[in-house]
Amino acid sequence: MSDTVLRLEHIKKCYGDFTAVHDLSLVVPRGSIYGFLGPNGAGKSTTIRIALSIYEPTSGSIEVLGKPSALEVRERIGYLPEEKGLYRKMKARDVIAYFGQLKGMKRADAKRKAVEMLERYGLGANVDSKCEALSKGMQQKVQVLASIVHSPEFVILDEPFSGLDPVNQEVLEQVIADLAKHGSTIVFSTHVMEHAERLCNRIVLIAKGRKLFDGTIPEAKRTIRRRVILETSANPEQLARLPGVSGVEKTEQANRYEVAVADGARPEEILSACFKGGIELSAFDKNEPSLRDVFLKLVGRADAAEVAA
Amino acid sequence: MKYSFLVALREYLENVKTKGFWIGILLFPVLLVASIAVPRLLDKYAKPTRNFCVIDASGEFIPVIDAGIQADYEKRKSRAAGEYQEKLKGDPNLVAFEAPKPTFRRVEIPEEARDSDPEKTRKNLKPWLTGEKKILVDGKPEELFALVVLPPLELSVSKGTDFWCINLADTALADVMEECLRDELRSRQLVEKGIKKKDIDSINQTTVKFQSKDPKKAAGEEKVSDTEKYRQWAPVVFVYLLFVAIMTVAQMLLSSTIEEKSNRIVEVLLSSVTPWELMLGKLLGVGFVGITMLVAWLGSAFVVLGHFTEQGDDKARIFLHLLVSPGLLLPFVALFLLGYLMYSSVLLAVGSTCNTLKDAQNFMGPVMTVMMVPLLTMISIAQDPNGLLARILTWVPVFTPFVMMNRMAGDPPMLELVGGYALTIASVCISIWFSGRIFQNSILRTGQPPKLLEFLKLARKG
Repeated sequence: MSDTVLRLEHIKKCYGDFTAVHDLSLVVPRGSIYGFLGPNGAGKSTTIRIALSIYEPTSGSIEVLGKPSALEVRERIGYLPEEKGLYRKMKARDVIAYFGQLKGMKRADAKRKAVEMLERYGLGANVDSKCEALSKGMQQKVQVLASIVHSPEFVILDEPFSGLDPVNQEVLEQVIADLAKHGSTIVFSTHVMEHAERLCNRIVLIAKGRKLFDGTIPEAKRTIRRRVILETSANPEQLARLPGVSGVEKTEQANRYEVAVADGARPEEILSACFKGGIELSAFDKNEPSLRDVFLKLVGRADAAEVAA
Repeated sequence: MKYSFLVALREYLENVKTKGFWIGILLFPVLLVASIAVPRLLDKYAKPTRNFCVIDASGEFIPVIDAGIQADYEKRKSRAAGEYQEKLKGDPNLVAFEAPKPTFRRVEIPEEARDSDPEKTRKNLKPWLTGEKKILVDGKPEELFALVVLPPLELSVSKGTDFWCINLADTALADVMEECLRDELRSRQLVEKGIKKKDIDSINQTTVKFQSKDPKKAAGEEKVSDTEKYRQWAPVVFVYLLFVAIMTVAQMLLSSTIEEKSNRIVEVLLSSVTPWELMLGKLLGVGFVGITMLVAWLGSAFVVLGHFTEQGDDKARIFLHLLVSPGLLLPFVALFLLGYLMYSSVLLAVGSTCNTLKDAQNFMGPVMTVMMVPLLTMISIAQDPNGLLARILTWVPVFTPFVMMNRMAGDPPMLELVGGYALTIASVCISIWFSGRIFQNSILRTGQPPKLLEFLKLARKG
């Protein structure tokens, strides 16, 4: 069995004069939880649709579960699109079972599994409810369950958290964790960094159809320098002379400064220097950069590059 | 194919589970029973005896009119008695014969309306004719249906003879009176010419009745039966059914496609099935819904007509015979399938480009207008199934299924029969291919529906 679940090589997708995806290559390793991150309109959904062979790429090649087309292995893939919907007049159980059957399950097995899943994820009382009678959050849960009822080895969830309240977001995180525990490889797209940071072990960051980063989360965080954030009404420029500090920059927020710290340097020494130097602090943040910081930095850089171009 | 079958099964089950589908199914036999039984019941119980008055300036013609009305009633009574005797053969326990109600009854002009001047009498009768006042018949107030005004009659009764009535549609009374007055005046003239009254009555009994014969039939069997006369018109009923059935199921397909598109289900489906598999599944599923509907309609028609046939209804017997005749039933089923595939694939393509039913309705206008043509021409084609109109429309692919059905009574030439079917099959293949390309390229499309020319571009895209 190959270690690669999805391989995209030099994918390009054009709609007339508009290029939605530029020369995108990536590899999704088996067993990973892989985040597709990017702002709205970045090309995440187009890339996902190409990966699923719903769209043909303008150029480039794909390999899904060892095959050149996802349709050849469709029964081994689960997919939840960004724009979600259900047959309004069908019962929750039936709609999940129908999508299970389309993925190769036998009718009786699909129905049984649908009931099991609805009960497991808190919809046991709605097994026979028509979809139109369910709340929006419940409908979204049913859609998620419909996409994974056949226990796929590769699951693609496009913006699965959008529109869910915090309670249902937790349920969905549980669903993803359960899938990973059973060995499924999961790709999900989001522009909410906190979900990606909590769940993913690899991410790809896309903006304006181009790949900006592909790797693990620690690797992503290393793309921006270590820093300490200070909030003070005094001038902290003197800190730049400390060993292990490569510079002090004022941020866009009033009285906030970013102190660049070299690898191996200790932030506590900066705090100590502040006390000794009479720099009165109202805030001191030595936490490592979040994925959100990485995102803003990389996407901002991509925007700047486009403006320059 | 497995995936198409699953899509088809869902389409079928979801459509046949709806209340609307079953109401449509059950409404058909109800309407059929109503169309046979209601006119009968109305004729028997609800149709009133028409009361009329006569202003006869000469005073000579009232006995003639009374005799004419009586003769007409006797004729109806005799026909009803004949039908009763026929029914009695099939059902010896039939209730006793009940003579029909008189259709027309002459009543005297009400006292308060009478005047020595006929014109004033006529004017005075206006409140009775407009329903403001009632006349008394055997002590009961009833409506005055009509007033007949007869001037002194000579050779012609065309001038000054008026029939006053607010019901413009029912001319039966006027017809009966015209006939009896015409016979009376002719008789008088013949008497003046020296012919004896007895001879005139005898001559008036002379009738001519054509026996229709078909030169295409074998010698000795040329006689045209009632069944064959009705058969000439039966295709019209089948064309109408074809239209209703195709329209009903094609609309189902359109709304189900738009539901999948507007509810964003289609993208999940496309991760499991190809656009072609999806389209084929939908065509098959809804096609079977149509077949179920037709089987239910034909089955219920069979039961209803069988029931009325047992009751001795001649027309029901003839229609039952026509219903089960392979010459009409088989083309009907075949042309339904072909017509359905042609029109529904077009509507499927239209549905795939629209995000809402409102968008689709804009395209439905032209499609419906085109589909009306076979309905507008079905009577003309039934009258002349091998005429120029029928022959031209046979070769217009969008009309061929309907026109071929329409022409079935006329035994069209083999070339046109085979050509018509071949053209329809070819049109269906082209229509499915063309629509499939549009479906494939549009099903995930959002935003404004395409303009007419853009459909061609969508079909050309790979």
